[in-house]
Amino acid sequence: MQPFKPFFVHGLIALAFLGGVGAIGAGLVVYFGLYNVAAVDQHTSPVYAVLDYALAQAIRQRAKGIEPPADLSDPSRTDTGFMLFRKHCVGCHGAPGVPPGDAGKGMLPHPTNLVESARGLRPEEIFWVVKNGIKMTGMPAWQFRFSDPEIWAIVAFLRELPSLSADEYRALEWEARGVVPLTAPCGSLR
Amino acid sequence: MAQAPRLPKRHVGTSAPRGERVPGFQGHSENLGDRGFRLGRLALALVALGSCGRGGESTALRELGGDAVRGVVALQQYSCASCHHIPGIVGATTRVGPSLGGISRRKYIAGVLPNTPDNMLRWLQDPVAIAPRSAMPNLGVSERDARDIAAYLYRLD
Ligand code: HEC
Ligand code: HEC
Repeated sequence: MQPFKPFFVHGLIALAFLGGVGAIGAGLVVYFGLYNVAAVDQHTSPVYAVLDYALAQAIRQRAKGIEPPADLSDPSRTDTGFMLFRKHCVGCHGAPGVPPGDAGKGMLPHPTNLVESARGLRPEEIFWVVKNGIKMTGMPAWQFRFSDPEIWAIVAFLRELPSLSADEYRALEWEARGVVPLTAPCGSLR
Repeated sequence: MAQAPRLPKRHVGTSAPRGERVPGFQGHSENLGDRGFRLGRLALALVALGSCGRGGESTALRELGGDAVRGVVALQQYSCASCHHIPGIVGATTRVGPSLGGISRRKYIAGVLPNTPDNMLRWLQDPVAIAPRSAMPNLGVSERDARDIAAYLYRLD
């Protein structure tokens, strides 16, 4: 073990030195404001890839142990979910055939298209995100606005979203507004 | 039959100047010249490199005009990347709509409009008028922004 020891010590010193240099470098970048925080300046690909992966992993870990209700896709649940969704989520995320509002368009990261999320995330993962929000992205936490059953209702509706065409979504929206249009109201939704 | 059903109103050319709908974006376009556009320039340089040796730009492309560098930011600011994979735009690898890579070689836009610069401008400003059943919504893209976006898209390989 004797020849190993100096090697080990030198290794540690080198690591500490490099760590120090790294910390100073990071400090300088922060102090001089070198990282552009403008929402029109997209992340570089590697930075984005790391953040995106970290986000997916964090959601996966934290959603472990959450149990979706057995009757998740019950129609009464999805109906409630739609009413909450159209009021609170469309402005940022948009919906089939419906654009996000101006605030949603100007955000970086972009509010995800939820048709994509509904396919990519498990119900408990969507539940966790909606309940807790996502730090530093603009995705709000909703646990102080909605009860757990209400959040499950939103989850239930999101699960249906990929199966809705733009026309079908518009029909739902008109129904919610209590309007039965005579002609197909193409594109007149905002 | 009491009266003929009214056709849904289209927005093209009838509403207030659309350029004013995204004030934050429009207002900042001047100082975007430096830092905000660094990556856009880089993306564009790479695209341009890729097209070297293929005989420069077509007349149609020159007539289209538009500022492809500004188009990079416009593509983000209208949340195009939340549905499309677009080479050079960092964002989710979403496939809600088709990838816009190679769009210059596509023969039809959305399968219905012959792919000419003029038609592309129409599509970008009012897709719903062209494909009412499509999941792509009208995003309130102004004429200028559409031109810049098209200028970038047509330079993608
Ligand atoms: C103020 C804008 C805003 C509102 C309102 C909003 N979101 Fe979000 N949401 C975001 C942003 C930004 C993200 C993060 C996107 C990213 O970084 O990938 C996000 C992410 C998400 C995700 C995770 C997507 C994924 O695939 O990782 C889900 C699910 C979600 N939101 C659902 C909802 C629901 C349901 C509502 C309504 C109750 C809602 N959001 C309201 C902005 C918003
Ligand atoms: C809500 C999702 C969504 C958003 C946001 C969106 N698109 Fe689309 N886009 C689609 C879909 C879906 C199609 C396929 C349309 C069709 O074939 O009818 C499409 C088609 C297109 C096409 C034609 C592609 C082809 O291969 O024919 C272009 C070009 C295009 N979009 C550009 C844009 C631009 C630029 C933006 C931002 C201003 C944008 N899209 C925003 C969903 C979206």
